[in-house]
Amino acid sequence: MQNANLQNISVIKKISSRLRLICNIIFFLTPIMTIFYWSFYNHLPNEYQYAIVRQYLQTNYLPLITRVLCAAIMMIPGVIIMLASKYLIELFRLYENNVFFSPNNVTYMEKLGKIVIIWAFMDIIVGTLLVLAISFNNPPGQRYLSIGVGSFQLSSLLIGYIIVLFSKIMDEARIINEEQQYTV
Amino acid sequence: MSVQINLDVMLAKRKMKSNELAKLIGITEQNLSILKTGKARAIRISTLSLICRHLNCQPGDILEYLDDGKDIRDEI
Repeated sequence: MQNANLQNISVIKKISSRLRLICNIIFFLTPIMTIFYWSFYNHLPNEYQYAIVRQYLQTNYLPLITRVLCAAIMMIPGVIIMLASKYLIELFRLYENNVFFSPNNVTYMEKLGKIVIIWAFMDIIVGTLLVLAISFNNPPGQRYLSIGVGSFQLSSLLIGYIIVLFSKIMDEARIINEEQQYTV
Repeated sequence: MSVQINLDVMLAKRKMKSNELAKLIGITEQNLSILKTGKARAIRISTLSLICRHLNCQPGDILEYLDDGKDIRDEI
C-alpha cells in the first residue's frame, strides 16, 4: 500500500510539473499574443480574423485606433486568463511539493473558481465593448450595440461554481488532514 | 475545556528522556513533542497504552481535565 501511495505521489508530482509549465507559458504568452494579434490583424488570413468584425464593419480593414481599442478590450479576458494561470501555477507548485490539503490550496482553488465566474460575466461585457469599438468608425446609423449570452458564458459560470464547491470540499479535507497530523 | 497531558511530570518521575520514550513507543520525537506541548487533537488508545506501559502508570496519571472556560469546538 505504501508503494501505491509513493507511486501516486510521483504521478501527481510529474503531472503537476508539466501543467505548471503549460500555465507559465499561457501566463506569458497571453499579453504578447493579444498585442501581436491586433497589431497584425489586417494582414491575417480571413479564417483567423474575428467573424464579428466582418459582420459589423463596412470593410475588413481596421484602423489603428480601433485595433488599439480592441487590444485593450481583449486584455480584460487576457488579465483574467493570466490571473487564473497564476492561481493554477501556485496550486501545481504546492502539489509538486506534496502539499495537498493546506489552507493555501483551499485559497487558490476558491480564487480560481471565482475568477472563472467573473470571466463568464466579463465575457458578455467584452463582447459588447468589442462590437462598439469595431463599429465606432462606421457612419452614423450604422453603429451597433450588441449584448449576447451564449453557451460559453453559461458553461463558464457552471464550471466556476463547481470549482468553488470543490474548494469547500477541499477545506473539509484540510480539517481532516490537520486532525490526522495532530493525532498521536 | 481541555484535557491536559502531563507527560513531563511522569517522565521526570521515571527519570526517562523524551527521545527514549518516543523510541520505546515507536513514534517520532516531533509527535511526542506535539503531545507534550498540548497541540495534540487526539491520541490513539494504542499510543496511550504504550505510554502507560513504559512509564508504568495509569492514564489518569498523565491525563488531566481542565475547565478553562473555552469550548473545544471553537479550537478545531
